[in-house]
Amino acid sequence: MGRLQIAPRALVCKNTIIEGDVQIGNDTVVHVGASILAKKGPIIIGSGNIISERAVIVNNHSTPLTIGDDNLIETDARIEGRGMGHRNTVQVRAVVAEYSTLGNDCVVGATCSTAPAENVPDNTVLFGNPQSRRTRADGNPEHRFTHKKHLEYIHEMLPRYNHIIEAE
Amino acid sequence: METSYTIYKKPEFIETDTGNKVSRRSLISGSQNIVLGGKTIVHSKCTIRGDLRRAGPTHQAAVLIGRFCSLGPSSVLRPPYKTYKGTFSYYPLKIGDHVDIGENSIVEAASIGSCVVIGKNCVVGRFAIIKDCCLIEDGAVIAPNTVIPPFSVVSGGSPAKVVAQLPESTQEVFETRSKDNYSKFISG
Repeated sequence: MGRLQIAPRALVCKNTIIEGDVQIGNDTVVHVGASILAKKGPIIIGSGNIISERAVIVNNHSTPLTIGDDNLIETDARIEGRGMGHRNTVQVRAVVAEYSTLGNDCVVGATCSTAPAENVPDNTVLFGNPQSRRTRADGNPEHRFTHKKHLEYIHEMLPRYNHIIEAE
Repeated sequence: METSYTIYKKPEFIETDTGNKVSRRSLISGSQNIVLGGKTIVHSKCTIRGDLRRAGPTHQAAVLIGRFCSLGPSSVLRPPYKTYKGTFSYYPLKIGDHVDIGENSIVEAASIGSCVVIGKNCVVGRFAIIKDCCLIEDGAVIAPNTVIPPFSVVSGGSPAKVVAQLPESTQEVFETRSKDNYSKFISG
């Protein structure tokens, strides 16, 4: 069936559920208990992403689900859409609904959800309950700054305490 | 209040010398950095991230949990992180005594006091501080860096707000309840 391709510098924990045709890029971190399920089409994950525990990325379509670079996917988030660009943050328990896409530098706030089949433009921030959205003008400097250091930290600490799948 | 006994199958839980009951189906990473105070129950599918500890050569624990706590099924305990003075680090997550965390809740708080009840499906944001004797209602989403004062009832979503106060007897009520829950959690 599907093939799993892990880039040499990616960190993928053993205690994860990965099914089907999945490609994981360099420096990407997949924490314990995350699920990446390529049910019908492939999932292609770029470099420098962090996928936290219990996050679910699922592709129920024949088209590939592409995730760009330097995205942060937090605990219990659910990605069912067609893909996303770079430097997005999908916060705790947020949902990227079916057929939808995220641009670049977007934030889907905690427990928020995109509408089905919408293309969220760049720099959009979804937040609050009742849900509202705004466009950010600052160009996401905090994420660029923290994310790099976060990756460095995880690359140092994660292999000490967890079993990592060796790249071939 | 009279509550019923919860009977579990003996092989499912590991009981430590101090009376902690930890489900074998829970997901615990970095167990050497986790402190359980005693008589604490960790239910199945609960995730505790002890591996995300302070950067540098410290022997500080990543997750500290007091006595008579209950960590519900599918809950997640994850230390918070930030960059401080240019260095990135995770910081310890401290939980007091008699804390009940409900099913499917995600906790990234900096500290939680004693006698706190957190409902089901809650999200406690990074570096939130919950003081003693609080009630977090089901589905509440506490924003990052929030400080919840003692004796508060917190409810609603994103961000949750303080909606009411609890009486002075709360400490006693929650203590009795957590002790009662522990004594009625027995193997069959």
